[in-house]
Amino acid sequence: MQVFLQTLIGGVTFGAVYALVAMGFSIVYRTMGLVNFAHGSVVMIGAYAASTFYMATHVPFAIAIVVAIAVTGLIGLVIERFLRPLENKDFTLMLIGTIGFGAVLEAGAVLVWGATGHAVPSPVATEPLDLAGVRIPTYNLVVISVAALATGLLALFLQRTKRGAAMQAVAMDHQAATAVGIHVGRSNAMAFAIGAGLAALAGSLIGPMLYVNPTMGGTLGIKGFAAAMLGGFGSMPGAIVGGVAFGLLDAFAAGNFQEYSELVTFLVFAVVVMIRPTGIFGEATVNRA
Amino acid sequence: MKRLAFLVPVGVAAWLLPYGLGGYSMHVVAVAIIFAILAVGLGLTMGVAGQINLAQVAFFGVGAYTVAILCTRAGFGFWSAAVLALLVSVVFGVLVGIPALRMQSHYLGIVTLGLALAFTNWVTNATVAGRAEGISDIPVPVLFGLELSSAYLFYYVELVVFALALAFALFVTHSPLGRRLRAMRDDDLAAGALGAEIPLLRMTAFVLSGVYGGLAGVLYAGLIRFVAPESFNIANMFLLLAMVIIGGRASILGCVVGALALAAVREALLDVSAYAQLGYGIVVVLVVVFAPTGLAGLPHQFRRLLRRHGSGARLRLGPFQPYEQVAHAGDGENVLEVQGVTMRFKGLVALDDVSLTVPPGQIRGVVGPNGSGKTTLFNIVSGFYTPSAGKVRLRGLDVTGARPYRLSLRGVARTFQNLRLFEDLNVRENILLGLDRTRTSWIWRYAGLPWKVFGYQRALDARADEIIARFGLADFADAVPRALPYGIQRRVETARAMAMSPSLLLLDEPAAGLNGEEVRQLAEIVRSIRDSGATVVVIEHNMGLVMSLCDRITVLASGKVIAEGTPAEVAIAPAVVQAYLGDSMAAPTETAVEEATR
Amino acid sequence: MTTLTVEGLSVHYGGVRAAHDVSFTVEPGQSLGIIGANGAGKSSTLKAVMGLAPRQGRTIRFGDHDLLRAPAHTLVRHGIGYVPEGRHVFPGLTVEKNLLLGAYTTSWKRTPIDEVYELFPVLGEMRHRLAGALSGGQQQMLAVGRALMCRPKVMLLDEPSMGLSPILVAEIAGVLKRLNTDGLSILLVEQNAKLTFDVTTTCLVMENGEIAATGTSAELRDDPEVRRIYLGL
Repeated sequence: MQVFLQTLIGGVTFGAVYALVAMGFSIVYRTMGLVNFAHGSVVMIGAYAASTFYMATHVPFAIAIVVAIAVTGLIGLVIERFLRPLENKDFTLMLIGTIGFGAVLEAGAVLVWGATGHAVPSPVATEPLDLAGVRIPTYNLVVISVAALATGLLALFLQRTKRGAAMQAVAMDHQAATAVGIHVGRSNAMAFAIGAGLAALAGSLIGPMLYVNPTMGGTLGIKGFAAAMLGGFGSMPGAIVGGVAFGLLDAFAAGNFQEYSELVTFLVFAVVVMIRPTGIFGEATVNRA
Repeated sequence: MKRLAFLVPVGVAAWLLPYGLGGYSMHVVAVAIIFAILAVGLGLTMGVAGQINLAQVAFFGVGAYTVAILCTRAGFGFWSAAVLALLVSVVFGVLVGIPALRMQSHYLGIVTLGLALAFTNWVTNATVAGRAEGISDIPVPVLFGLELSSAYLFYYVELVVFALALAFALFVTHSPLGRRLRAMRDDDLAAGALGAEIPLLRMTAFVLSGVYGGLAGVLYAGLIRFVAPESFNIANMFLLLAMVIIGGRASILGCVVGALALAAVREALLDVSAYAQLGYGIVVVLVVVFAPTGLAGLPHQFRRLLRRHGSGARLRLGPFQPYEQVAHAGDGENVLEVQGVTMRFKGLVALDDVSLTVPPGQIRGVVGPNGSGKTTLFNIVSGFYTPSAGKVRLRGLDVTGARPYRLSLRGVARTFQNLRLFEDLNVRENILLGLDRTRTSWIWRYAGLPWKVFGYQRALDARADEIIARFGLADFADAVPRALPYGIQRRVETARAMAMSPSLLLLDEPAAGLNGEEVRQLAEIVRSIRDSGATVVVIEHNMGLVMSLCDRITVLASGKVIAEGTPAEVAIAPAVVQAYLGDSMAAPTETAVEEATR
Repeated sequence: MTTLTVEGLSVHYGGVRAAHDVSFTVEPGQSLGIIGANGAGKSSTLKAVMGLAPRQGRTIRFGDHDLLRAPAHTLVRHGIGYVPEGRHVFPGLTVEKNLLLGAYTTSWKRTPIDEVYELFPVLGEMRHRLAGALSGGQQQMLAVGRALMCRPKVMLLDEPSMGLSPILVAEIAGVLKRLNTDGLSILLVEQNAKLTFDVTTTCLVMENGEIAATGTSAELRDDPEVRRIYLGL
């Protein structure tokens, strides 16, 4: 039972991070109809930016995160600007373009930070909480609450603000959006920047729990992507549920199958999406027929 | 075939190449050819068939690892292991391809990528696969008593395999199968309605992927005689993708050029691999943005730039040449029988207990206000939807819930409200797709009896010319539909449907967007189609056309049949006047109806 | 006053000419119709005025504003409402959000949304439904309502009758006439000649991308030659 609860806590923590990655995917997908395969690499850049700044300057971790968000937000803007000519034209080409950007970012990280990577000390020094024999690291709680807060803010933005509504309108019909006065390019750029910011937040948070290295983006990106798919692509609640579900799947696979956890995780994932390709909440997007 | 003449000197040069190369360069070339085979496979799956398969390196790995494991752990000889390895990678291809039956595009991409990661995870940890160290003592392959230990000798084996693999890929792309694969890539729904078995075609794409991956893997195991997980990781998948994109994904030769070029670049930048990756990444982005058809598409792009302002001679739509009149088979069996069909979508009832019966040789109109369920009815008859209740019969045979391709092969052809022509295929190819009536299972001939395929293609070509001439499309045969005026696109879609020699033709708003003259021609064409022996059901808003063209009319409103009869009967039925024309309109007089139906 | 002036407008897609040397003006309060067969260049002309299609021209002005160099998203600020061909509502947003987005460039605190609900009561009833779940006719009303939300001085409509049953076409025609009576200028592009003649006072007939005839709607309605050649009535 203790082992179970311990795994559960770990799963939910990683799940919260996957949920952030998945939300970043989803907001870009929902507003631009773009599947951003470079998203994982942006997470990795976020992890590097936050940890490097944190360790070099010893500022509070929160400030390091803000710096990382700014850095990746800029990268997001650059990617969006490059791929803008393809928007609403060729889905597959854009997808491949983002794979290209992913490779560029990964190679860039190797050139800047080297191929080996570094460990990040936990920014929260307090002892783990002890709840009926289950030890919960304080940092895990921080991760879960920050992710929850970010989710709430994003939902408010999309539901309650004019810009949020405009962003969704662009996703559904860019010509009609232009005609009502929305600058489509600017709206998309903002969506991309928000997506990249979420990636940076995810990367910064996961840094102290993993070893930060140039290839971490590949795995994290695929897992976040898989989480988005599990929940239902483009759906915000789906991203959250899918993220936590994937985190749990990951944690329990690691507990039961050790080194084969990745094999088991992806096989289970493949079977689940075979049974329900639209995910738990279905794809919340316009019909592209 | 003449276009491929340039391959002869290329072949000769390739044969003589080893005489001019040092040992290391020879090795580089041998590896490049393996990548070229992989790229051809990916080009077929992704570029031609449109399946985003990011597990191609895993198929490669399966081939190589199977050879390695069978040779070193089970004592197999190289060639018997090679044959088994090919089989195993095809099986693996089929397994990875199964998700493609349920999902496409980015969904498929992520699932195949996940499965590729699962494969890497397994070989890195399984003892039988040598864990992270890999398997290093693969025996030297022996061919006709000759030990193929050097890259020089192995090169010739590779060259032969590569030439065969390339020829087969080119053959497939330029054959009816390739056309169906491309049609599926552009619009799988329309391809299904034309008789293409989408599930089988998708599996075919993955089988091809498995074959090419396996071939490359076997050659790799024989050449390097060492396999380790990192040769088959995601970074190499990206390299392979870059080759295909830079070369031009829809062109097999482009993929080869891309593979050879990038393999050379990779070798040159081996010591600074991070820069190399940076370079590929940037080039891929640039290609995607500025030259989406890759290197293979550049000549075409240049040509278009050069003659952008010069417009050719004015092209004309020819007159329609009517079909020969044929007496309808008088067995009296109804062509279409819809019985009590109900269709529910998430609580919304689109069709409610709809029945209609169409005897042979009739032109039946289906009219009704928007949202009354007309197109839903067509989607059920053509197999896109399975009704929630009720039965559909074709000449007495129950076809409720049959797949679109099956109905298509049974003689049901349809057009679409919003035109679904294949945009990347020209008019002739669109029509050829309609003409191709083979089951997809026929494709075993591609491997066994390729000359039969050529003969079949020639027969199709002749019939395509006939249909193009009949519909007056000769001037547009080589144009892509997107470049044609709307009225001509409509004509092409009708021609494509008639290429299927249907017994039942479903026309969904064929007059939408046509001008008066075009509508008149349409009426003439539809009458001639009926005279040729087909039965026609037409959904139409243009009441003038419906009144003058149809023998009987079924009126739908809110998913129910509210009237059925001759145009004259229907036009004055109070329920129709009320539901379709509105309360405020006075019922048309008998004389007005007479005038309209004359 | 705010007159919409278009002079020498041409539209090319790739190498294909869609419209050539089209000129017209829409005076304040006027209703102008452009009719012609499909593919005659009507929609392309309208899209080009909105900056949504590649265009060349001598002049596109609205009052003092030069629209030729103005990016498409700025037109609505000058009081130009646009109802696109095929309705193009935002399917995944509620009716109310759709309408509010019509007032994207103005404050959401003071929008004419109640007037729109008054004009189309059905939209008020369905304000919390997703636009994608509406019927074709309701979507068309929503598209018109959305264009009204910016308090336009002129409204450009592209084939509002497309795919609608006769009763809905009559209803749309009634609304357009009422809006025009209340002082809104209207530029209506239509294949449906009857609707256009009912709604507008002046009409252009386009053929092969050029203006082939001009006249009052009454004249053109009774011109058998125009009817025979261009409308196929």
